Amino acid sequence: METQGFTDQVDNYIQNLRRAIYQPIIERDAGHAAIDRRKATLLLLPLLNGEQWTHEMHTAALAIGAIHTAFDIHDQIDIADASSKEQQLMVLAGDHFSGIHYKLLASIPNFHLIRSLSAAIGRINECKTTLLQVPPNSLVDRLRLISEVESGCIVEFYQTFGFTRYIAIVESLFPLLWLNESNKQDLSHMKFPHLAPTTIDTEQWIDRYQRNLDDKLQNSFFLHKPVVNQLVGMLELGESKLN
Amino acid sequence: MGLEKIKLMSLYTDFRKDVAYIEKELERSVQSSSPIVRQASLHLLKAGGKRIRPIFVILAAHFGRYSLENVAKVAVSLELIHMASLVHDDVIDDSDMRRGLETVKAKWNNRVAMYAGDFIFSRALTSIGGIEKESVHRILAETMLEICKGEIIQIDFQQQTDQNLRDYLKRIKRKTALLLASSCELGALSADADAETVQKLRRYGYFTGMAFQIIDDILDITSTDSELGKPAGSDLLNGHITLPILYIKDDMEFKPFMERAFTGQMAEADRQNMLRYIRQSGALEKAQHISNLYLAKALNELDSLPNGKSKKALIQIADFIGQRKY
Repeated sequence: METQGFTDQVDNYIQNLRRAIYQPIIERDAGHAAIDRRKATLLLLPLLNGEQWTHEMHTAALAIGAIHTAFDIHDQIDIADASSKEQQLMVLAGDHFSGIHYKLLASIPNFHLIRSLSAAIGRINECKTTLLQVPPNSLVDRLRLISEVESGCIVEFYQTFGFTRYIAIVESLFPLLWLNESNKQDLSHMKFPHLAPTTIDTEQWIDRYQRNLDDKLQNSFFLHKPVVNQLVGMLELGESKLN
Repeated sequence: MGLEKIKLMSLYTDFRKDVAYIEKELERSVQSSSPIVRQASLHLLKAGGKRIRPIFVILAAHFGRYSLENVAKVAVSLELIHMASLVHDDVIDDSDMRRGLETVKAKWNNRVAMYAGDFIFSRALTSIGGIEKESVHRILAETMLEICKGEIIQIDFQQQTDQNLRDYLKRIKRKTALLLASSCELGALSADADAETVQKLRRYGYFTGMAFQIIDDILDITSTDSELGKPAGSDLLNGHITLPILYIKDDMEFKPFMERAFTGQMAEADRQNMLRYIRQSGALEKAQHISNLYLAKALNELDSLPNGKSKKALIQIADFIGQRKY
């Protein structure tokens, strides 16, 4: 599949996700929920790589997109004052998207995924709380928690549907994406900006994590060349995160 | 422990062991490797609450093939969903106190409250995930979405005085009655009770839930600040029109109170005068009458169910709801 094909698949998924999470009052007063295109692309990685994609996987992927969107909107709640109508609706928007994720899983129904994904959601919120309140001193530990926050649900999805060989790639990619954002000083769009290292440190860490990812990609003989290019492009171009 | 909770507990002494088991399961389910998440979750759990949802699950399950293991999964899940929504509600309402204790958002901050609420919600799904029955998940998912929709509408209606009784009833249905209805329904379903019994219990839960919320709205006016654990009249101060206020909102002498409450320009003496005015207006009695009608309907649903300890307890709980003081 070439680049245009990838773009169409991801666009199509995002459109379906938008439809699934639509709520008229939220849309009117809090606006379009931002959907993380990079996460969507990584979630769909097996599909983009030509793996068989069933209706069950499609519904489960939408459920995970809904919970990712819920996380993202809850991350935007002001730490001290959420009393404006927009912020109040953002709290409820996140809860609504969480409810949609559960409804989608219940519709399959995949009880195993309900259990494993809820365990992952629990861990992700533990990690987010730690990163916010008592972040570890070492950057390696911080990046490990960031990787868990960003990739936790995708990893559960891969494990449930037999795509475990893709796990190492997403787990190495997320810390690198975060470091890249940190390096570009794009603090307004990045998560946990207060944890960003100094510029000199960042470049060293990027090198280290880039080498790690390159190793993973070289060993991933199952990945088609256009998919590898897509992943590399995501890092090089700093592809727009939000849709 | 509050006097009202002791009174409520005395209504289900026959089921005390199972309630205690569920309480332990609740505590176990919110254990976390993150000390802050654990403290935040236990903070609300330890603050108490009436545990009316778990009790309804237990009582409803006795109309089928009772299994404490299944009952606990459903009961823990419903109570945790309720708790998670309270943690987030306190962020929305900017509330510093709940059940006489500091809220999670006041003790830590809004973001910790968001994460703790999401964590508790995840544990609710972990618990209910142990029930491999499609209908249980479909009902619970729909209930959660409806509750959320109710809260979204409540925000949308904030400070809007052109509301009617129908708007109010639809709102409290989503806010309270649906989760109590689902508690009864899912309790009965988890015990494989027959379809007719499940529906009767669902309607019982729904009608008592409507009455429960109306009484809650009355108590917001009649109770003291210390009984409520927050300032009396908080609903109106947060821009929410409740049933007693619906009956009085067009009163020319009351309107200035309402305007000051909505704009946050209400001094302490003014708040006390407002509460006194509502108490003397007759609005509370009218609201109590509507609550009584719902309770009568709830009791009616139980008529044809087999007699026994659980039916007796459900009848007594409905009576308790009608008479509770805070």
